[in-house]
Amino acid sequence: MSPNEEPPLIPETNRPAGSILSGRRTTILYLAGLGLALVPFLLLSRDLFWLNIITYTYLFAGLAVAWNIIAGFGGQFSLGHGVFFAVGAYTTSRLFLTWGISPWLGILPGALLCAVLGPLIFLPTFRLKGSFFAIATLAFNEVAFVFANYMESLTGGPRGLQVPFRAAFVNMIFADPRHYTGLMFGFMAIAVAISVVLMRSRLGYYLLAVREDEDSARAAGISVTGVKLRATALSAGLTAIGGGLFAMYVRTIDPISLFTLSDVGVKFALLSLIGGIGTITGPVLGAFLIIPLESYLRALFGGAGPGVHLVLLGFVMLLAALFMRRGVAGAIDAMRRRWRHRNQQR
Amino acid sequence: MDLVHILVVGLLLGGIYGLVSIGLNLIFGVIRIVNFAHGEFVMLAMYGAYLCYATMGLDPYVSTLLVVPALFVFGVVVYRLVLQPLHNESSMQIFATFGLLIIMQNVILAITRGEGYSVPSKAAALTFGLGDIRITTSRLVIFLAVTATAVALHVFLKKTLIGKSIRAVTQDRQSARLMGINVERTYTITFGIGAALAGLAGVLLSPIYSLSPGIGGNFILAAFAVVVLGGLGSVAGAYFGGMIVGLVEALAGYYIDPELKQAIWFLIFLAVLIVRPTGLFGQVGAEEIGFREQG
Amino acid sequence: MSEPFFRVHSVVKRFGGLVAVNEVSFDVARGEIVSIIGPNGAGKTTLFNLLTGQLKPSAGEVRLNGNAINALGPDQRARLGLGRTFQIAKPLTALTTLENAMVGAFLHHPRLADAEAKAHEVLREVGLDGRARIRAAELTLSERRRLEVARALALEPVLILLDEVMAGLNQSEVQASIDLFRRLNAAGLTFLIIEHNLKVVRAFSERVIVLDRGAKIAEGDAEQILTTPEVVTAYLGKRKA
Repeated sequence: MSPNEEPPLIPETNRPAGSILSGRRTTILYLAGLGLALVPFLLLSRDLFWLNIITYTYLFAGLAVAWNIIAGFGGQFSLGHGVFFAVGAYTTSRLFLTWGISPWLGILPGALLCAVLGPLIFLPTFRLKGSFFAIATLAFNEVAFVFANYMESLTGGPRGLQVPFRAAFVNMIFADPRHYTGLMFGFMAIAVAISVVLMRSRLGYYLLAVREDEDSARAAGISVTGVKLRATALSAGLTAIGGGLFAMYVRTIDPISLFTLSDVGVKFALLSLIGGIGTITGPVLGAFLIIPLESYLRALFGGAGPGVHLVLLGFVMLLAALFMRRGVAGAIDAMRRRWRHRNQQR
Repeated sequence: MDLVHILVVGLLLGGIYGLVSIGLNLIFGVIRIVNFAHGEFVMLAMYGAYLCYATMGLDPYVSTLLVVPALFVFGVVVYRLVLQPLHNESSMQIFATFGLLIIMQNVILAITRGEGYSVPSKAAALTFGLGDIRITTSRLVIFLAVTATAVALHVFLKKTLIGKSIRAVTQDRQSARLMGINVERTYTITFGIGAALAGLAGVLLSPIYSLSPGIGGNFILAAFAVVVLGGLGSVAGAYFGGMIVGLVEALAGYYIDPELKQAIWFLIFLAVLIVRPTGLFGQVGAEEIGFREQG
Repeated sequence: MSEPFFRVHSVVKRFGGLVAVNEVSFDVARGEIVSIIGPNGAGKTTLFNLLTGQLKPSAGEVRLNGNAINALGPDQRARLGLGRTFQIAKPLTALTTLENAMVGAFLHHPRLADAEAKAHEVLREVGLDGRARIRAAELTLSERRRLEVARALALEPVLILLDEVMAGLNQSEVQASIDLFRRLNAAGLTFLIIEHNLKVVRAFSERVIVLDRGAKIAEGDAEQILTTPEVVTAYLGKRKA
């Protein structure tokens, strides 16, 4: 392999080949996409089982989008985002339980905390390449897990925190489960919007440049570390907000549910992988595919014995890693390019 | 509990960590692959030992002869099917090996239906005294095993032809290829050896721990900590790294707080990663070259 | 006497015991075109990296426009107006040609529309505007080289450092590049280039600096330098045609 063809850590991404869409066209596409995402909600809102799945789908779509900001666009493959998720969950719950602060406000301190904490803990590890960085973030996850179990006064220790059911809008606790679905939809919509705005901004371009080649980026006047830190802050803060919303949905959080990698930290990555890392729609597509699939598998095989549905999920992961590196969005984009190329040749 | 006792506990624990890590270190150092499923290889071997016990009444120290080669074969198969195609794509390796991890854990879970097993061993249960400290044979065996393995591996890498190919390939894949070394076969064998070493660890650990499908998780992060601390590809690194991690855990557990044990050595692991990513014995710059360098 | 535009003063770079660059000094006046030549191993690349900021000197000073830039990293130097290309052209393959240029343009044009406009401008300058929407991965070698130049131009540099920018190009591509550089120079851009191709050096340099084994062994007018015996010996050991 010649020096020219360094294999990328994140598979070559998929951006709409060619055009920088105008602001108006972008907005139209965005709203159309949201409308499409709304369809399952509208169709299945009466079925509680599916409603729950859709709610999780929206939430994890938003979380995967947040992860993708630093990992997909920025090329820093983090397996430690569970930490931000957990901080958001614990902060929001704690503020509500102890001081009665409305979660609508309570999600902000967690987000700000992570926007500071994220860059702080990632900064020393940025110079680690690829897998070393991933392992370091894994280590953060483990350390945080241990501390979450330990600091009982803050986190409720191994038993965690329970938020009593006091339905009220201001409490972000809803009697009608559809309101939660709407909440998560809103979160996803905001996350995607942030992603879109980011990738149409200087920071977004700089982020891609940094991911592709740090030396070239510096030669273009980009402060590599500064860019990574800002993207991390954004990604971490957004993830924390998702964590806070999660806490108010399930109303019982504990270290196991927050830090188990295959449920949280790795899942964000998996959703992005399947959908297409480094794209705007990829993480969303991934969520829409995997979350329902996982629930479906659990329902189908749960009776067969413990762990069977997870075996299947593991195979999905394995096969995706082997055969679907660009994800669904990447496959679509490749098809589009081939189609356009064929048109050009006529 | 006095200091000596803690040190002994730490060293014995270090033996365990070292034994589990030595295979990972080899894989990591030579092929530069992140095998998140390494802990599951250990777990598989533990269940293999149980199987030998349940069906043939074999003492785990005997079933070593069966389980270790089996793990070698398993490792070769996994490498060929899953990891070889993903060479140079570290993020996909992470996913693939994580997928393997989930598969292996849950296959065992599904088969055993969550029942806990243990593997008794007459030899292992003996204890004897060192001064006024009691040491169980099983832990001592592990300590001896890791020492013997480290020495054997060192000799193997230095003196045998395969060992030298492995070292050549680690240093410079291109040149090794140019000199006629079959790089892919070397990698395959290395991975097999790494898996076999994990198997050895699993079998020897089976008398100590009670078996559960998730037990691999206990080891994998510890193993990474040891590998990073000791340095990529360094046998001595895995050995001494294991000792250090074991000692730190024992000391931290006693002097700071037993519940924070794991956090402490993780923090150290992070500190090492940040300050001296090559570890104590590794080649400087290896971590920055990462996995991009070798064509 | 006012300070020269770009001053390299007694720059030294040591790697352990090896002295790769040994007290090299020279000045470049605004608007000049200066080439650095020398045999392989002369230290040209190391010197280049010292000037771009990828390496810090062990001793000595580099000054641009009166500012000491020794301690500055490559991105800071870029912001001060020092543009550079890479020997192995590394376009950002996930982006289009236009977007590649925009990455440079964003430095002085933070808004998307402005950066896009500036990017078009520099692409036109290097003759790549027709390929703006193509993914950079699909560009030919000579196009990639021109994209490198475009990205550097988008920074609105006052001094541009070119590293073997003609390597691998055919005759007509070389000529096209020289024409481009002459145009840019006429517009006020100062050039400092490392070049192996002596024909190019003769065609496109006012002054030549010769390095050998880390030290400057000659400096002067292009035509004159290339026929000096020491230079010829150092370079080839045989007389050039």
